[in-house]
Amino acid sequence: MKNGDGELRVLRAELLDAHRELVRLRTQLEQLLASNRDLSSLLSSSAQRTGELVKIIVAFRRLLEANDAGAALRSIEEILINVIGTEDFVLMLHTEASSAPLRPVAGMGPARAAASTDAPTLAELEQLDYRMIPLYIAEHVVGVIVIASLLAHRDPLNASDDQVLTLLSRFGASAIMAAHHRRSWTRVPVAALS
Amino acid sequence: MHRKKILLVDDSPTAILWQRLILEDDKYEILVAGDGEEGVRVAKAERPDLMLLDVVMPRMGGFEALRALRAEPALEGMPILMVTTRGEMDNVMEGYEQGCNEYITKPVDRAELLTKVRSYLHRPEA
Repeated sequence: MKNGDGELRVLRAELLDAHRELVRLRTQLEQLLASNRDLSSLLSSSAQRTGELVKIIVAFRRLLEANDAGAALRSIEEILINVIGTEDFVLMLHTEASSAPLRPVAGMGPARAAASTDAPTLAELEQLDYRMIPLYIAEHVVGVIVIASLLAHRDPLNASDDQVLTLLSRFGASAIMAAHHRRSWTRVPVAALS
Repeated sequence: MHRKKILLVDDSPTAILWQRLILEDDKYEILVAGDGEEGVRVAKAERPDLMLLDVVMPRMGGFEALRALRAEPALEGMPILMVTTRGEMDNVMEGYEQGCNEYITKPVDRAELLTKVRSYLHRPEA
C-alpha cells in the first residue's frame, strides 16, 4: 500500500511537471505565432513600400534620362500610361502669359483631342471635375496635366499614385526644360574640366 | 546555378524599366525587345524561360507575335504573359484564345507580377 502511495505521489509530481511544461510550450507557441504575425505584416508592408519606391524610381529615372524636350514629353506620357494607368490625358504648357490659353503638347485620348480643338485657360480647367496636376518651375505654374479618366480596369488613384503625380508636378516641367537645354550643350572633353 | 531568362517585349522604355526593376530582385536574366517582330526573333535565338509581351506595339503587335511564337515548335511550352493596358474582356479573351498563359493589366502590380512569374519559373519539372 505504501509503495502504491509512493508511486502515486511520483506520478502526480510527474503529471504536474508535464502540465507546467505544457503551459510553458503553449506560451512559447503563442509568442511565436504573434511574432510570426508581426513578421508577416512587416514583410507585407515592406513589399508594398518596395512597390511604391519602384514606381518613384521609374518615374525619376525616365524624367532624368531624356535628352531633348520631345523625349521628356514622351517620358511623361509613358509614366502616365504605364505607371498611373490613363489613356485619356493631356499635358498643356503656357507659352506666353499665364492668362493666355494653355497649349497642348502631349497626351492621348479624348482629353488630348478636346484640348487641341478648344484650348482652355487654367481658370476654365479649374471648373472641371478632372484630376489636374499643376506643373511647376520653382513657385511658378507653367502648365498642367489633366487626367480625364483612368483605364477602366484600374482602381481609383491611391497614395502611391499621388507620390508619382507630385513628382511630375514638381519636376516634370523642369525635366522638359533641362532636356531642351541639354540638347544644345556643347560636348566638352572630360580633360578640359580639370 | 542556371539563372532563368525572361524576355520583356514592350515598345515603352518606361514599362521595360519598371518590369526590369521588379524582376531583377529575383535574380533573373533579363532580355529586352522593343516590338513583336524583335520579340519573336530574340525568343527564337535565346529560348527564354518566360516572356512578358505587350499588346499594342509598332511593326508587330502582341497578338500577332503570340501566334508566331505558338507556331514555333522549339518554343513549345514557354509561358507567355501578356502585359497590357488593354483590359477589356474581348482583348483578354483573344489573348487566351491565341495561347497566352496569363493576362496582366497595366499599371503592373509588383506583387502580382512576381507571384505569377514565380508560379511558372519555380514549378517542379513535370
